[in-house]
Amino acid sequence: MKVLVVDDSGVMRKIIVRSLNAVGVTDVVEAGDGQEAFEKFQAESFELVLTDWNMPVRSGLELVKDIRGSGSKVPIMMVTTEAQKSQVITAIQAGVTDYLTKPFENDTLRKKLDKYVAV
Amino acid sequence: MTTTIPMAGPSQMQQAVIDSTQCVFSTMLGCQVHVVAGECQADSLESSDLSSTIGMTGDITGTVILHLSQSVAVGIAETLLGQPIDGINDDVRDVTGELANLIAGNAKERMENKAIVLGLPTIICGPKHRIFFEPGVTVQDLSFQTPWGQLHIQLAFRDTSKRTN
Repeated sequence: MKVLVVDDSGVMRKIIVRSLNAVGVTDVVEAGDGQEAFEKFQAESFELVLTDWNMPVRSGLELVKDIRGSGSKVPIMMVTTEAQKSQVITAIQAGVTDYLTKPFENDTLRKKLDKYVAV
Repeated sequence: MTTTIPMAGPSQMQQAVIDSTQCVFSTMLGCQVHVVAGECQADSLESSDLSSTIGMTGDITGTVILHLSQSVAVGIAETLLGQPIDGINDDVRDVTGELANLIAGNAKERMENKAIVLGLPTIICGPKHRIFFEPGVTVQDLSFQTPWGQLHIQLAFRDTSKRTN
C-alpha cells in the first residue's frame, strides 16, 4: 500500500508516518503543500492520501478538488484543525472520504488507518 | 503590561486558549498543563528562545503568540517525535509552529459563535528576543506549567469596533 502524506509541518508528517508504520505501511511519500502533493500524485500511484487543510502555496481543499478533478477515486483523509460542521461539509462535498481533527490521539489515527490497510 | 479586557470576544478567546492548550497537551503529548496564576512577567517572556505567531482576522482581529524556552521546546519535540534532540533544530522550530497552530486552531473551534480565520504560523528564533505591540493593541498574558517548564502565550487583540471605513 502506497500512501501520500501532505502537511506543511514536517513534525506532523513524521507523527502521521509513524502511525502508518505502526499499522504496517512503509511505502510513504511526503509533500509540504497541495501543489507539490498533486505533482507527486500525478507522477505515482497511491492507495490513500492524508492531507492537512491549511497549507501555503495550495491548500488541502484545493488538492482534494485537483485529485477528484483528475477522475481519481482514491480515499482521501483530511487531517486538520478545521472542525466546524460547515467546513467538514465543504470538505466532503469536495470529495474527502474521511476526516480527522487535530489534535488527535495516535490510537485514533491508527484505528482510522487500520480501516484502509485492512481493505 | 497587561490590560483589563472589556470586550466579550477576547475574554471568550482567552478561556478558549486555556482549554485548547490543555486539550492539545493532553491529546498529543499525554500530559496535563496547568495555568500559572498571576501576570506573566516581562523577564519570563524575555527568557523565551522560540516564539510562534499566528494572525487572526474576522470577528476577532489579533495575534496568538506562543513563547517557549529552549528546554521546553526541546522537551515537547522529543516527546512528540519519540526521539532525543540535541538543541534547537528544524524539528524543534517546526514543533513550535505546529503547537501554536494546534492551540490557536482548537481555540478557534471553541469560539462557536465567532467567525475567525487564522493565518499560517511564523516562527521567531533567538535568545531573549522580545515582541512589541503597536499602541491600541490589548495584550493578555497566559502562563502554563508543563512537565518541561513554563510556556507563555500572549493574545494581542486589536479593537476593530472603532474602524471608520
